[in-house]
Amino acid sequence: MQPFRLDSAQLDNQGIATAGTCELISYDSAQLNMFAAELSYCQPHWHEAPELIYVLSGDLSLTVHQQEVKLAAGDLAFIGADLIHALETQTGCTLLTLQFSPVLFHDTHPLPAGFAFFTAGQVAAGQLTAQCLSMLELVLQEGVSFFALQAQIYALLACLEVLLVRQPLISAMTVGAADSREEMVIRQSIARINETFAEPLTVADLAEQAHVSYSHFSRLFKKVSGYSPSDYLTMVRVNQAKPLLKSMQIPITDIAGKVGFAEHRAMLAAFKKYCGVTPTEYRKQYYADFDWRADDERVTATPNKPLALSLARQIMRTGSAKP
Amino acid sequence: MNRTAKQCLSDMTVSDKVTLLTGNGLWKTAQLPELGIGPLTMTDGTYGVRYSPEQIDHEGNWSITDFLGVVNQSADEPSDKKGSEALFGHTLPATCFPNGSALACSWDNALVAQMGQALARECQALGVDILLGPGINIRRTPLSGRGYEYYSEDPLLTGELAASLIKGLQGEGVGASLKHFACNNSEYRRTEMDSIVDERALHEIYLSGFKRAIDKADPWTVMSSYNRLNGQQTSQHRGLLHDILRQQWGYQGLVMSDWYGVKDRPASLLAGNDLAMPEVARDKAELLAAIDNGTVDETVLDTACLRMLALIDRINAGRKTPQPVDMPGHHQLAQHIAEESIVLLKNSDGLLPLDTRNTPRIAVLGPAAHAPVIQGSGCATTVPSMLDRPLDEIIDVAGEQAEVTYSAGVGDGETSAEEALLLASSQAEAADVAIVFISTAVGEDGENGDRQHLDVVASHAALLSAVAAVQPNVVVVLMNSDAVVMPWLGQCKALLETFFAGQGVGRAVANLLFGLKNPCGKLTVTVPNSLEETPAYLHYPGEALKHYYSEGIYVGYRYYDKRKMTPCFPFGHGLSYTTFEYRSIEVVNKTLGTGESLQVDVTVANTGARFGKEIIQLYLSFPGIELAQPPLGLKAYAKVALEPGETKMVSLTIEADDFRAWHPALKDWIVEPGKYGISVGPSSRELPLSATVQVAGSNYRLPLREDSSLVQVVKDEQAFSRVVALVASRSGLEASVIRERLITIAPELFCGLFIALTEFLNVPVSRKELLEALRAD
Repeated sequence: MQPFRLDSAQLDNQGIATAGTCELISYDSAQLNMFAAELSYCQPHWHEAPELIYVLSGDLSLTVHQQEVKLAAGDLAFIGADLIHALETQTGCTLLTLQFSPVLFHDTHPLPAGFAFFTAGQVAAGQLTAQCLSMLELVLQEGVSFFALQAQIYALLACLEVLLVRQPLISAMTVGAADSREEMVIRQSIARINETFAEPLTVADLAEQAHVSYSHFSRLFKKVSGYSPSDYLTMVRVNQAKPLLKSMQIPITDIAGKVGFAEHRAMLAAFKKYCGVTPTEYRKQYYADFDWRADDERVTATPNKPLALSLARQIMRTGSAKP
Repeated sequence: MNRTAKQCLSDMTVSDKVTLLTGNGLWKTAQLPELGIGPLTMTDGTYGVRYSPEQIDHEGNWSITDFLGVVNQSADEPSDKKGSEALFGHTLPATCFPNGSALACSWDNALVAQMGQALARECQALGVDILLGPGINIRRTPLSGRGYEYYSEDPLLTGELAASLIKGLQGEGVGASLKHFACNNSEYRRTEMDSIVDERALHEIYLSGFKRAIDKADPWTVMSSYNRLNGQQTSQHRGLLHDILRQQWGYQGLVMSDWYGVKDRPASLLAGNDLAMPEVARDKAELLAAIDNGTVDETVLDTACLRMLALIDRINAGRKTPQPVDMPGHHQLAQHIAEESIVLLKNSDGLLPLDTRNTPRIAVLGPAAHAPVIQGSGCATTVPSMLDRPLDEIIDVAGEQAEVTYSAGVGDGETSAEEALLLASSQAEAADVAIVFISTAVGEDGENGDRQHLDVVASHAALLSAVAAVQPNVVVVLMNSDAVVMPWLGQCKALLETFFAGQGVGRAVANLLFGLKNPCGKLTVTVPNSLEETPAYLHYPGEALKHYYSEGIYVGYRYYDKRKMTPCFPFGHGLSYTTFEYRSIEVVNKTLGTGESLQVDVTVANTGARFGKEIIQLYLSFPGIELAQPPLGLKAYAKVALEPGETKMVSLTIEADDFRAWHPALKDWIVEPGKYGISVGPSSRELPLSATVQVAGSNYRLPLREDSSLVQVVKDEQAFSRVVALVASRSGLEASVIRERLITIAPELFCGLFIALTEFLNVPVSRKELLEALRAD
């Protein structure tokens, strides 16, 4: 999983973490994470917090289990707790993301486990968008009260609850108990890849460690994550290489080794396949973007570029980032 | 001067005028809203726009520390500041084009003009009205700290390239500032030193490039330098700024000082230094006082103000609404210029271009492969908008069939480290070819200080030695401010000289290494074998604050040629992956009258298998009878593109003025009559084509004195006739007889004419009578 680390998130004392950058899955006092970002890529991962995504601009391809859904500006998607999901974009996109802390729910009353999406123009999407915008306005307002924020969070959740009942949940069935053992095996493999990608790890090693045959393992992995294991392993390495490429300190040949590619040629091939650009071109794109040109952990830790919430509000209001 | 300017002037108080002629903060000129005068914004530098928002936008909030921060900025500055502040605190990112020393190696006027246009667009996007460049001082010694900014050791090439850059810049509405005027050819104690330069060297070498650029491109401003010239501070040198620049050359633009380069403001204004930069309260006060007490006449003030108002008019007329700049396009231009400028100095066994089928295993070594040295340090230092790292680009260009390894080969702080050397040599040994990047020390070049030696970083040389011990196929890529000595030359088969080639250097090097592009740059300075043999060595850097330019006109190749010395690489040298044949030369005019230019047609063929460009160079040899001359002087060049097998005829023109030489006795230019040699070829030391032309020459009469020899007098028909008449009147012989006898006896008479006549020939003439006969008409 691409690390959604954010060490310097601005946690206000009112229970909402708003951040310039990506996902933050720790909820010390905050009960809602809200952030906007220019997405480049987000590999398969899961988290306890249900998540609502609003596409501010561009195109988003969202994979949840074996389902791939294409979303465009104004569309929304809901991803239930612990669902494995991955995000990709062809031409680039910006997203507003809301993650709800499990603390907000009651044991007897969780949000539905499943996945739904809402197409722009539909009534449901309109209602949810309005709720998101109200949330955003409130967060950006100075001196807003704690209870007002809580009220808005629950207003949004209430809206979501109603809509999720009406809107068919895709692949909610696959999250049944029958699959849970198999899924656990794959989750363990994913976790292993995420931890040991830098080592000379192969699909055969993973199958062996999972005590299943190579072919069964491959099928199962694809079924659960949406990716073949070799694709996934390469993508993790590519994604690990990205922040290193953005840092200007490390020679490109060292980066290949650091993320588990046997040699730079393998990294070159993987980048061409999964990113459409060579590592050199990728590095230069970021060098040319002055917002990134700081040797700053916060910026280099993720391939996704943070977007100011005020800009997200502007896009939601006007449909454009231009004032 | 137009009516509005005159009107404006009449509305101004003396105080307004003084304000107008002094800076406003660090980078702006005066703002006088009640007179409708807005400020002009200026910024460095010559190969990239340096815009400091703190210093330019936050008016009043500046200090000498800011200025020193600019001047002393290192290209690779370590900073206490962390993160973005360290990178953005100084200046906004801009395209870092190849520096002057690299750019000039393109010998491509049109390309240089294109760079000028691109610089102008970046200036206008930032609201910059005048870019403080180009800097074109002659590269007299490779030690000079700012040699990387300047173009060449040759004045013609310098002037042509400067004119092209200025045309590009000003054509887009941004003013140039041609600098540093004049004879600031080293940085050693630059604000104290007095450059002592003889008249011929001054006019023919050090001022000639400025004149050429002014004649051809009319820079809107000229910047006086920090040094003294023949005893006077240049910003206060009336002989330079008025007599030569204004009267002889007819320059109409504005002269500004270098920053804090004025030492006596009233004197500088009287000398013709119109604008004093930056804002110095004392300058204003002293000038006001001088006008008050009559030391400076108000008409002098008015003349300078009218020039300033004319400049403001020019800028206002050309100012455009800021447009977003196509930065990726400018990056590509920076790459392209680098490709056109990098010089292939050596290529034994045809090692280059590399073919990954033959040499799939490539060891890239040296810290500059990952962190290229793209520019010098000082006022010109630019924060690059993008950066091509050679290693990254080599990997991209070589593609998946190549196996590329890399290590720096040096320890921390560029020291030699055994472990790093071992790794590097093991990588080199395991490879089919090693590409070693070596450079001069970052920060040793720069302002107000020269290099101490001409060596590359010691650890880089050690790395090359270690690699060469295990790998026969070594390519060196050199990144350096100005010429270096190359005791290590034998350790490499191929050598690419990049100088400081800007932010596109990585891609350019990769494209050249693998033959995607064919090298076509040529040296614009001589590469010496040793520091001690360089022309300026004996009297550099001067003593007791005087620096005698004792080599006179024999600067650069003129010195090596005159002394028949063989440098490491000669001026004009540069190889290609193809071969060119110089087929024929035709001098269109067989004889040349006064004021005529000469056309020379040269035919060149590409006899190799690749597309390539050749820089055709034409050198002139003077008769050298009246005035001593170097064997060769560059007088024309052309860069021509040729497909394999293609032949082209190129017309080169030697301009009439380029036959001139400065006569110190006449204090004027002459064209010596006689036979001139014309040589054409690929470098100053390889000139396969030659021809001659008979030049009528100019009419000039050398001053005669009572002790001039009879031989000299015979040459001057008018004076000689009068002397003959005088002698005839005293001797009673026929004038024709006297004339014949005097001519016959002339070579025998070693004494001056007066003694010869009175003592040897017993002709009773007085000094006065003789001088009367000898005087000029």
